[in-house]
Amino acid sequence: MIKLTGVEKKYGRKSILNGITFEADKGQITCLIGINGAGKTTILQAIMGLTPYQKGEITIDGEKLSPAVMEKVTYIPDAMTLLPKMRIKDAFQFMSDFYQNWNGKRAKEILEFFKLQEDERISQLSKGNTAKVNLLMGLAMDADYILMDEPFSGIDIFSREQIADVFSSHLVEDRGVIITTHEISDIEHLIDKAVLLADGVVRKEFMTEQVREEESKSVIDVMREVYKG
Amino acid sequence: MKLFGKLVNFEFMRFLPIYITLLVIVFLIEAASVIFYAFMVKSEITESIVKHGLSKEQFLQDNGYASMVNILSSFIFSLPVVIAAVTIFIYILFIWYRDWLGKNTFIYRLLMLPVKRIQLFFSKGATILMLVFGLVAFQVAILPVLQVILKLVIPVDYRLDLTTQGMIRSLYYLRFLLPENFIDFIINYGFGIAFVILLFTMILIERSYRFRGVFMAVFYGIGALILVFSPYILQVIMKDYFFDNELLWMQFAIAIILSIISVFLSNHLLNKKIRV
Repeated sequence: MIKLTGVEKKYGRKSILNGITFEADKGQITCLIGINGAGKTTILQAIMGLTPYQKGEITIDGEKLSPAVMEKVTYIPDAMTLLPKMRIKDAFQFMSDFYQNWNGKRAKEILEFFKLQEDERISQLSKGNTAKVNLLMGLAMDADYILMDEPFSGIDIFSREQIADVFSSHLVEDRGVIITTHEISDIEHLIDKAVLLADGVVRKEFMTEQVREEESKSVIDVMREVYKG
Repeated sequence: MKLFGKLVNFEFMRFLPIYITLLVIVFLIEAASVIFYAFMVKSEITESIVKHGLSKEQFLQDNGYASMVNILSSFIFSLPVVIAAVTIFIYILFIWYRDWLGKNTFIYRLLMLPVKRIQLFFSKGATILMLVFGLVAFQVAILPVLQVILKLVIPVDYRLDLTTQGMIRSLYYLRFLLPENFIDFIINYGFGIAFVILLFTMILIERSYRFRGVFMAVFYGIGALILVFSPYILQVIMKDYFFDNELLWMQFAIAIILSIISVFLSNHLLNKKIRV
């Protein structure tokens, strides 16, 4: 379980996170929802140790963040994190050089799933394919948790559908996923837990199945209630 | 340790195309300066002996022997090495900033690698050291080749050949980079490494605190330089109490202490303060 307890972060005098507390379990898809500036990306970066936070605690399976613990987590940011001149096969080599939990077989499987070629250069990929390669790099790791930052951001509908298909495939099952997205409609039916954020605070946290069955509401209905009052 | 080696190799390979270009430029300009000098001397010999009927002895009395010494001390010969040194210096800054700049933020990937983050610091430092050693080794290796060009153009009677050791001693920067005694080698490279560590730490301060960090980094850098040169201030206050040698060792000790502090500070910044 990834657990955040009272995480606070400021940039200068501006508060970005004001005591964020939530949990994301293995085998579940947890979706962080909020408008731009709500702190979604900062939360993922804080979990990965990519941005410092001033207060609170983040643990992964009960342990504090360390290089060993971080091998349990893979992060898929919304920016390309590979060198532009690399070909996809060079990126595979880089990952297999450095990560013990890199699964080359799965990487090839996802490559085929997305209909990408190993010889393609990162710099020549379309936006949709860049997002797919980013996703591939994260999913091909044998990690217990996957953090995805806006995987649908700015890509065409067919790429979105392909990426959404990943969530219901064996590539994700049994793993804990934390995803941030604006495009909630694409994956609403797939998420297990929603965490609604505003101004660096968790406004509401709920299990989607429960809300659907007990209150007959969709995630979007709950979002309307919370954000529009 | 294995991952550290891979990191160093990865960093080195990223600079390799530019580095090879630099080495080619060094060779071409130095070879051109030797060819130019050799043909200039040859035409002087021809003119003096054929046109003016001077004897070999008279020519040598007036002009001396043609030798690599005359080329090694020229500006044009040193120019490519200065270019290479400046490029490597710029790369000391760029080796960090390139991972943050542009659309492809590779720093995400580096910071997420399953290695202690201080290894990124050391791998980049080791890469810089390799680049410098590589450049020195290349320069030493091409000296005999350049002398062969001279030998091909100038007759042996008008030429004074040098050993590689002799050529190294004739080139100021090689005398500095490859000193004859080991202690000088340690001191020269010790100061060089300390300077790189200081610059790296300043960059990490800036990358951690951004705008505020610029001032903090400048303050840290100036403070460190003042400390390194503080023995000279002490020397003025104590009216030349210390020998030059003692001052140098004091500076060296301060540089080592500052380097250790900088490494610890960089480790802290990389683990607790750095931002993507």
